[in-house]
Amino acid sequence: MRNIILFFAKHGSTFLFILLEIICFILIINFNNNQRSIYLHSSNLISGKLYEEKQKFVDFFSLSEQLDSLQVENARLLRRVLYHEGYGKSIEIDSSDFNYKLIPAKIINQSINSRNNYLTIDKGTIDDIRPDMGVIGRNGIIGIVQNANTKYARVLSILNSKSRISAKIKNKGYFGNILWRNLDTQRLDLEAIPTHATVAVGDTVVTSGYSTMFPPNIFIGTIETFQSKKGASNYNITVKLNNNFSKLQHVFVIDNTAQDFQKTIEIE
Amino acid sequence: MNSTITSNGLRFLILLLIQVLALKGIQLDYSFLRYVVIIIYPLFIILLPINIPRSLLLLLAFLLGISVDIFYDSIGVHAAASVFIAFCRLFILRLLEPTQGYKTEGSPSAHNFGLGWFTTYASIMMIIHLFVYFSIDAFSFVFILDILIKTILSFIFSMLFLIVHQIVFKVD
Repeated sequence: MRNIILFFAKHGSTFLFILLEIICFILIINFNNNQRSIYLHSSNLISGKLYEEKQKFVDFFSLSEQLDSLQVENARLLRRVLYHEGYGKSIEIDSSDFNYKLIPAKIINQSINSRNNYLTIDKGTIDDIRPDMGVIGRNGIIGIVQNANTKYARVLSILNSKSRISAKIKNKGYFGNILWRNLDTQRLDLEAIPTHATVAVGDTVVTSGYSTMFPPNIFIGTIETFQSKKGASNYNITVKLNNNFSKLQHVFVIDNTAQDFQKTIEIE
Repeated sequence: MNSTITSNGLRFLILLLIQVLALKGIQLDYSFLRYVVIIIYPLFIILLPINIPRSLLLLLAFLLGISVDIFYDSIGVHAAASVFIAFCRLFILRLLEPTQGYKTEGSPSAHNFGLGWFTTYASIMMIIHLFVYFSIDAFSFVFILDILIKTILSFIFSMLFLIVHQIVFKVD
């Protein structure tokens, strides 16, 4: 004990120096946006690289599974083409007034078990990824890009307590918000649907298109249960997802080219 | 003893006020002079008595740095640099110790040790301070060239202030 006290008495000022510098750096990172973003940026670059390498390794063992799912996806799209145009004809779609672009990306890291889940994708500002872009998978929406550096971007998953997405019940025209309250990775809550609405189990919930992030009518899930408390004006609706987040690998980032225009007019 | 506390306390206040009220506003707008940031408050740390306890030295440096930061809206940046030179001060003083040792208990000033000695000592302190400050400000060594240019230019202008101060005022 005596030795410990002597040790501190001798080197106390060095410890004080280290302590004060740590305090300074905590203050710097917490109160200065510039330094904070650089700190986040470089830590993302390092961890992003590591996750990418790990993902490459994992990918190697799931190649056939991925190939299968891509085949299924191709077949589904081909079926649509056949339905509309007949196979072999060239298709001309006038897409000049369709403001959404899709950027394919791969998930290199994700969490699903915590209260606030995030994903990391392997596309960054070089590939035109910006914050506030929507991210969808084959079976529905995934989340919203939160921040992006040159090579990677972090996506706020819909399985996050901060996530809030404008949604509607398809063909019925009632609008509400999708949130994640319980810890079940398959179920979300749809709130703000008034009790005078006619809701049925199995109804499809899709994006409303009111936000600038997602185009309308993107699949979110189906209604599993709904109940109204006495005196409450809104339903408690549980929506079941079709996405299995733990198996996600390929996603699409939605680039709304008219986002800025819509935002500008809404701010005005 | 009391006069040491009073004079250092006054120096703390006056340097802080000059720094944040006058020097902060100076923005030279002519080609390379744009890089110049005049910083004189480390003079307080430089002139603290030689035999001051190290912990007190570090705490005072932290206090001064944070005070400057509050006005510069850069919480922690000046403080980190100040604490760093306060830590280095002992080693620099040891390095520059005259052959007969430090015989005074007063400040390591030009009045006590000569202008030449003071200039060397203050230069080392200021170079370290400015380099650390601009590095933390940029927060990445990607901008190393930028940091070095700023350090050197700001050093020249800041040192002018320090030397003039030492010629005009006799600090015991």
